[in-house]
Amino acid sequence: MRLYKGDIPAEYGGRLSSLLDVRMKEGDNKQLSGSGGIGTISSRLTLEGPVITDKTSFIVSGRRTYADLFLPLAKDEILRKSKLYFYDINAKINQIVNDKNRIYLSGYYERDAFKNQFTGMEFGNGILTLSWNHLFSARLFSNFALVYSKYSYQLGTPEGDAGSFQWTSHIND
Amino acid sequence: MKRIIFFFFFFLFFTNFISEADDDAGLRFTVSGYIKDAESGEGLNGATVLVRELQKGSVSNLYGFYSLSLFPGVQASSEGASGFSVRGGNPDQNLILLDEATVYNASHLMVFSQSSIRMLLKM
Repeated sequence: MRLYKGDIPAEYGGRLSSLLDVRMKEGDNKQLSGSGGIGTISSRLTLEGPVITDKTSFIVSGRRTYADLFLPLAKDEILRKSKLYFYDINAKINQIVNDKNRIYLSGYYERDAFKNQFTGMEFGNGILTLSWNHLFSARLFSNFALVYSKYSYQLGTPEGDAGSFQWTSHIND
Repeated sequence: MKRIIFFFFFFLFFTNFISEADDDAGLRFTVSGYIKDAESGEGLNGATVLVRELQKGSVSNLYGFYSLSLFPGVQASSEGASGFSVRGGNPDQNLILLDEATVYNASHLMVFSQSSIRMLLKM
């Protein structure tokens, strides 16, 4: 994770203040391991390991809130019929093809939602990156990346009601 | 030497206030105040004020007054929000990339970088 507060490299653009460049970890390519955590509102789990030792490895991580599991227990009818959660999933696979070529595939998907009988909103991002590192020589490194990013959100009132509406919007890149 | 040690035992009181200077950029913040002897309340001259992280400092004048101009760094944008602002900018002026892909709404992502899936990121 790297934060540029100024002198942002020329290949990045479009924003005025700063650049926060976040990179996902690569999975352990020696042995399988996992870790997790249980929290009061959400829990998480990470699993990483080799597919082919020293060649291909993966890492998968996810998190979800479970405060909504307790909503059906609520005395209040409106609260009982509400939805309230967020989750996110990250995954990355990397393959060492040979000394000169490496391929990475990583994805991230995340969704936040809140709904009750009167209104609801939902939003989330999804990204997918396929990148290929190639060494032309000991002094020339190249990175070729195909990147997809999506952000969408929805606002609305339940269908069927008079004057109900759904507002959805997304940006694809 | 005795005199120097004596000075070390002063408890310095800083009467600070942070104000946004009126310069046209509006990006400079000024920390200023008086350094006083805790026992007598007398203004101390020649005392150094240093922001260690930035290696920027200032010396109090004959009346014990000092003034230090600083550029703001990274700040949390507001209580309860996960955005951040850099050098006095707006949270939407930051480009956030995750594995080279733009993250358009990073409120969720920022929450995970604070705690939850830290183990997944290269720090």
